Amino acid sequence: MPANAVPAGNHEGYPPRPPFPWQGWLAAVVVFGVLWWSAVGTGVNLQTLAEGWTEIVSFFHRLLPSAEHPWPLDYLPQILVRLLETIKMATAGAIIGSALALWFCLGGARNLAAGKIVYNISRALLNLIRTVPDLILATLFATILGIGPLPGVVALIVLAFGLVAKLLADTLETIDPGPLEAITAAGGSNLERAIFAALPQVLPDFLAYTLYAFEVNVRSASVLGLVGAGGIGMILQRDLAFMDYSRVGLIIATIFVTVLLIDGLSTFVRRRLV
Amino acid sequence: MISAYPTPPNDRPVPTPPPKPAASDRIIPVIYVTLTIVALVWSLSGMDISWGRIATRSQQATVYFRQMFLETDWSYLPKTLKGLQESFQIAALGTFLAAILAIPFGALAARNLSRLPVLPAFGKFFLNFIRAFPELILAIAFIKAIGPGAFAGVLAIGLHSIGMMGKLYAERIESVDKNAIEALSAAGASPLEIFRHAILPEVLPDFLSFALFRLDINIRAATVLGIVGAGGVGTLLELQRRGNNWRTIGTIFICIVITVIIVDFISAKLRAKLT
Repeated sequence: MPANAVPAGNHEGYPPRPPFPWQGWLAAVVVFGVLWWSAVGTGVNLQTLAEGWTEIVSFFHRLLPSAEHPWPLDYLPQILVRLLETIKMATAGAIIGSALALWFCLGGARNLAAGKIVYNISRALLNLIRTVPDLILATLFATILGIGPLPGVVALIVLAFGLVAKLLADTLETIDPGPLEAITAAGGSNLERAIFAALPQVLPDFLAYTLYAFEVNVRSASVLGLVGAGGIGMILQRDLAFMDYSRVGLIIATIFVTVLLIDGLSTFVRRRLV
Repeated sequence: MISAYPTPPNDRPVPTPPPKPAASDRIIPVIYVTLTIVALVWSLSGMDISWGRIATRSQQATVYFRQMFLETDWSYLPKTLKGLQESFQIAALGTFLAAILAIPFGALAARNLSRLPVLPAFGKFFLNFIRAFPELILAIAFIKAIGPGAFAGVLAIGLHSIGMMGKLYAERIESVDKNAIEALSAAGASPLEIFRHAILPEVLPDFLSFALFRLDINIRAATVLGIVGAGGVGTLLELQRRGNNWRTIGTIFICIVITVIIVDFISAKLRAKLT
């Protein structure tokens, strides 16, 4: 055997063949099985799709302004009134929700909670609140409180509360323990530790999270109206029902531009805060 | 007297106390609080809200909550599970469709793949256009085109996810190793070959991770779609909501929350394994 013999499986300098990737194939089989099962379960039907295709294309076509379907610009004042309502809902929800979160998050931070039980219960509640989809909250609140912006604001308060409390509790766990120990050494109570040592440290973060909650709320508030919870979604729902697609197009464009502007503005301010 | 130390220790400069916060520093929190209060008053004024309704309805709400969580109607569980199964199927199919279809759109929108700057601009515009539509609006549109049911939900989730995932894909492709692309293009590879051999192997694990994350989001979205008639467990919720059956609503609500928790858990574990 020559000294420079190539070991088996390494002819002509190629790396050895990888072993047969049976895990990959197994995963592929499982994935396609699930997809097949899903396609049967959801009644996927290419013929239906083909029949509806012209309708789908014409929907998107009629949303955009054209010569025969121009955007009804005289409708714009009405849209802006609803847009203002949407932004007001988002603002109220973000501020009230964050204000509530500011107190609740103290229980959700390991270094501030009064005992392990309080901490665990607070954390569990925080995680639970954030699992409920916002539209489901809104539709239930709309049933209880009646159609209008009120259920929307309540749903947005819950949404902002869950978001800010979670983020703030996480941030509180990373603060400098020095001031906390100083207050304890001076005989301060748990509440005094929170007010004088913990919260001042996270104030910029708190403001940033409130703004972020506002941003999320604006997105959310613009569709809450579809389930009767006020805002621009209310007229969107009505115009969709009447198949007034030029109006729908104008409303969607308005929402899109608003969300873009608010995202940009809020990101800019948040960068300067933290 | 000769000192061994040029400067005796007790001659060290006395540490100056930290400067008192400037007047402007003390004013800033006041400004923030004032602004917040002004914003709150502004936002609550002029809105068509009768706050008294909270008081008058709270008693009723207590009854509803008691029915939802304490007198839950567990006999509705099999139907709810069937609805959740449909929601999962909608999400799985929609996510898969989008995960595949977003690849060409993501490649189109990536700035480092084309020599013409027009194509990425067009691709980005298209993805932004799709993302402008909330899932529920798409669902309503598809329901009008092909009728109510889970299929409309699949299409709505699929289309919306193309916009979301296409953007992530494009950003990931833009951050790939330039050298591999240059090496292949110097060897005379076509753009398609460059994509296949220089880009795909690098980005595929991340694409898979994006898809899993999207599946997580989409399962949540698919529980809601039924409210407008696009299939899934939301259909049952809407039905029971109209019938004011809060005991059954409780069953559905609890099942949705549990499902979301499980899905979040699994998705987090899988993604941690992938990256």
